[in-house]
Amino acid sequence: MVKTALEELAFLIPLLPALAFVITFFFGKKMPSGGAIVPILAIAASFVISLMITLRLLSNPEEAISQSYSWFAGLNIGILIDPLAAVMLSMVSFVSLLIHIYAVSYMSGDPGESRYFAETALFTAAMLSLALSDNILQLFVSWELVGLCSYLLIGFWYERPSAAAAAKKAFLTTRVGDVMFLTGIIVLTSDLLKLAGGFPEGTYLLRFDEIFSYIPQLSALHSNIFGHEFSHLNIITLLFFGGAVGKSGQFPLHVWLPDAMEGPTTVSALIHAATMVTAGVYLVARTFPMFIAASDTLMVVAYLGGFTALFAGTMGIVMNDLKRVLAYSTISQLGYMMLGLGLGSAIGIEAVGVSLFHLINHAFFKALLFLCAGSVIHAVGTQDMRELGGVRKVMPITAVTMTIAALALAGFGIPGTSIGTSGFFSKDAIIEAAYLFGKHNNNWSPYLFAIAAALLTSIYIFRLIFMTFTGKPRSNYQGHESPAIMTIPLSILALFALVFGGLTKTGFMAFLEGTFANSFVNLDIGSLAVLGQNELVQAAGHESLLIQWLPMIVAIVGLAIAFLIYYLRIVKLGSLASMKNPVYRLLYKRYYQHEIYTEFFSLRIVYGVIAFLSQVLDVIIDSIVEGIGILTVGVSEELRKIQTGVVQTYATGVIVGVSLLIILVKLLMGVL
Amino acid sequence: MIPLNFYLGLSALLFSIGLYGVMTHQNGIRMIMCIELMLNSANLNLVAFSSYTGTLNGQVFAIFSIALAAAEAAVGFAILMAIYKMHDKINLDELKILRW
Amino acid sequence: MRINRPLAFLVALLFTAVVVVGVFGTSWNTVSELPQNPEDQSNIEGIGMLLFTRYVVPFEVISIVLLASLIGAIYMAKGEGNR
Repeated sequence: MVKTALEELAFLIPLLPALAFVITFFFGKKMPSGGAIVPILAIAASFVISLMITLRLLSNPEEAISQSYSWFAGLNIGILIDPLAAVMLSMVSFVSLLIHIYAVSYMSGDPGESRYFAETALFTAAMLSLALSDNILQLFVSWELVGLCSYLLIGFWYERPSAAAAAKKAFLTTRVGDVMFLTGIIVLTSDLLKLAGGFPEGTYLLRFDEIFSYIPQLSALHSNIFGHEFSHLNIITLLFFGGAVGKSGQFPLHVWLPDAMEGPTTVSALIHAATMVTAGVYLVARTFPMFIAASDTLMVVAYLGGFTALFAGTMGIVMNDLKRVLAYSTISQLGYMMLGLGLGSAIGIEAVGVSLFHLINHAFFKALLFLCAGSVIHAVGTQDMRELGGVRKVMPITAVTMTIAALALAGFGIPGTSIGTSGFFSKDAIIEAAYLFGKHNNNWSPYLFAIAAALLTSIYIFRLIFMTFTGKPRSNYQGHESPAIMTIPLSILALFALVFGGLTKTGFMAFLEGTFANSFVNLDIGSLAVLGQNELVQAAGHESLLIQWLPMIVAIVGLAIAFLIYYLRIVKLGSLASMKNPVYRLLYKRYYQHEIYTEFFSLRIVYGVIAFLSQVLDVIIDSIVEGIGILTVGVSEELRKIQTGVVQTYATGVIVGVSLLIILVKLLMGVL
Repeated sequence: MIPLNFYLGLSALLFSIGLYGVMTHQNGIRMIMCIELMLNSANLNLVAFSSYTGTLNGQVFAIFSIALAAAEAAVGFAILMAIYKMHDKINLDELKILRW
Repeated sequence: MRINRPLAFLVALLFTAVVVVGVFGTSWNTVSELPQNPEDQSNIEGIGMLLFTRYVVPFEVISIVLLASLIGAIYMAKGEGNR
């Protein structure tokens, strides 16, 4: 009884926030606090339903919920809730609920408050729909909708030109990724149609179980481009990964994330920490069977993820804006998640569990970090860390929760036991997997990227903590602790950041490994791995003590460095951290990416080419249109002269015409 | 007897003489006279055909054609009189208001 | 003269040529002997018979046409306001 009732309610999960969006959009202005109560209730209901479905799935993971309805031409819309979707749904609705409650106080007094709540409700609906879509087309539609909400929310304070520019940059950069994603879907559809010989009866093309059943045939298709043989599965998965690169802010499409901090801090917490940017990771995890059967893509994923983690970390240590440091931290951690998925070429389906574990934990502590930053900004009024200092005397609760989040981010814990922050367990799992990968393939780059990025992470986050909360205030600011409606979500998130990892470590990853072995789709990942020429190893789990403790050592070293420089002020950076130092300048100017991407490439090259071509087109089309006009007028001027008005000419014309007609008829038809 | 072709050739010759007259002269009366010539060549045609096929239908048509030619000539001359009243000459080349 | 004389001559010649070529190239279905009628050497009796039996309707109509054209011609030749 409860089973079927729950299944019936599954479609409400994205629907209730969408209804909340409509109600808040139209009636929000008249309701108190901008109509915040409607989205909060809707998201709370979604959270309850998702949690119940997750619990039910935990007890019998074989039964995934799957409902499909025909949409058009062999495509469907539908719901799929398997372990992967269930944890994503629960996390998204939970974090969104807490951030909504927080935003009631954060956004109070803002004239656009109802618009804010409407847009975040729509965003939550889109993200939930993305998580539970059962075919790739619906996922793409939700993906685009999420991108739209991101644009709307980044440019929330649209009168500010910097906010409008940042929103435009975010949309255009993710658009590049979206085009690649769509191209991947098109290639996939055309290949599937070719293989299946048209739309198959009885099942839906592009539903995930259909796609996965065609993987062996897809990997046998090859194309010849510019003289190189490319496997279609490689092309499709690389294009999907391109979409993930755009949405999840990997190099080189990461440039929009730091600028996206122009939006309200709650938006940064919701979208750019916990949910939207993880959509790319979710996509790769959802289509993981395709990735593991493609021979090269997982390596690309791993390398790009690792590189991004390191790259963003190098920029995070020099930023002075509170939210920018957190933005670079998000990019770096997303790189970790991609690295985790990419290591699936060595550890198989466990990669999905490892990466998703880090995704969930990262959502908790990164949202917490952003919310605490928002709390500080709201109370103190400035974002620049050089003007802060000693905030903990004014805001003790915020200081404690933010420190907990920092410990989670840096990954503090005791290896080999269950004691530690959640970030410790998830990051440790990824680093362990990287070590296994390195030992197996004798390729140590991912491992080195991961360790170096861990060191940088620890440095920048503790630099942030020490500069903000300790020492003497460096400017005159008036601050006060935030109201309870803001500190309660902070505390809840801090609790989760502390204990979630330790409590659910093994169970979580085992739960996720059943994603592709249930009633919806049952795949043998091992055979798919063989198809992609990936050798899988079992996670041994018994490395030497040094390797087990290395991440923790690195984190402590980072803490020590930050401690010495920023707390005790023993080591003076002086000219090392000023613009005279070329390395510092390189990092501070973010490797001149703004200059290269926007100034040079977009404005000069692309815009110049477009302007030139449009001028050429103008000239061509103008001359064609005018030429037709002139031609017509000229011809008619000449033809007009037939009408002379004199009868004799008409008679002549008649006779001549009749004679010619008779001659023609005689010649052509042989009559007469 | 003379073959039929010659009668028809004669009628064609007459027709083209009349045609030449219509095309070149500018005097109205001369044009009407040439038109009469063309009509009479058609009559000749009709009668030739009628006698060489042994029926009399063609000759009856020829009578009708003569009557119609007379009617048309009358109307034509009346129009020329009206034109003469307006322009004081019947130079048909001058009547070209309906040109381009 | 609107049409100059050589051109008109050529057009007339062309027309003649076309018709003559057409006529002399056709085999006409003719009787070999003209019918000899001893009583009525001039066909008037035959024409009269046809005119009043088979073609009486066109005969009457053409008389009306003649009448109408005569009236119209007289009216136009007399001019306006002169009656």
